[in-house]
Amino acid sequence: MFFALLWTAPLLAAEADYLRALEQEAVGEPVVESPAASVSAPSFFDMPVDDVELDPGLSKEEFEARLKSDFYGSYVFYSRLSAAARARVYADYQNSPDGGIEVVRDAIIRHAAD
Amino acid sequence: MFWRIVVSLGCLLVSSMTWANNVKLDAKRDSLLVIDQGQVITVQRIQDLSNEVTGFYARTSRPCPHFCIQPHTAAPGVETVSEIEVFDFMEGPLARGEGVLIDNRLESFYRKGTIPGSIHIPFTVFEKDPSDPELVAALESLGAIKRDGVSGVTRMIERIGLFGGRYKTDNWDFSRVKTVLMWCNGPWCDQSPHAIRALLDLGFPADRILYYRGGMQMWQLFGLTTVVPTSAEN
Repeated sequence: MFFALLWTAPLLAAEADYLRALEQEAVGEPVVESPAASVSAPSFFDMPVDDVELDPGLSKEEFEARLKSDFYGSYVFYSRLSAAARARVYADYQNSPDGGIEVVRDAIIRHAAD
Repeated sequence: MFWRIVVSLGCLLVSSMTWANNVKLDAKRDSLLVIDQGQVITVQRIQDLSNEVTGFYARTSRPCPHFCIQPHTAAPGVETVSEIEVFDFMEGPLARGEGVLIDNRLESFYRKGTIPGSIHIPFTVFEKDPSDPELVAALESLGAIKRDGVSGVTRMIERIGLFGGRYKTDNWDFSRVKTVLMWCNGPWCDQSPHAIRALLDLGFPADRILYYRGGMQMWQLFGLTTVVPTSAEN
């Protein structure tokens, strides 16, 4: 027991010393958020779409192509869904009288949790 | 609503379809996107050609011991990577949920800014007692499976390399762990090497560990995007 203490005590002291030095070092560090971060992309779902809209009545192929070209963020999430969930998203889009990207986004989120 | 899908889909990242930057990430990428704390962040370089590093990461000298220049290799079998491989990792294993980018620094460093897409597991967690709940949770979050009641015969067989024994210990099955890319403050920082050594001691396979030696120092030097953790802003 005594020898074990003799062995571990210096190690523990060195560890404590190291942690103390690290904490002291951290005190001098300013927040490092870079200017680049201030121009980070908005959330995919918040990206301005200007006057781009998702027209109703597209075929599944057209729907996916439009999603990919004009609503890439939504497309990324859509493409991660299972085939069944993707089919349900497309069905929701078809069943919505006005179509629209909001319907699709809601459907993606809803069916992601299925 | 948005957060739910982000959480459920995990850490998703895609190549950015972007504008032209004068200062590109590398020869093939202007920028890339990574999900960090539920938000999509563009990782890019500062475009101001006159920008210089100032302050904490501009310092040349720190006391050694404690802040000694680190060797290129953190441990045998652990690959050291540069920024390019970090970008590839962000767009590959991290995006697919097969990899984890880990900020190994103490909380006091982390809360002042981190590399986008990183989760925070300070090196001290990996040095805790093997039965410590915090360590157990950390290992499980990396895909390790706790083992209980493994028979001596099974272990004997595993030790000779059968039954996937290469990735198993008495207490852990590491055969399905994610690849971890660990980093800290830079080439003078021993926090991620500490974590790497501790992980290896636990039996975590070296070929699933990557060490970004440049860390925050080099990330800053290249003017790359950093983020302040949300919890730190509250």
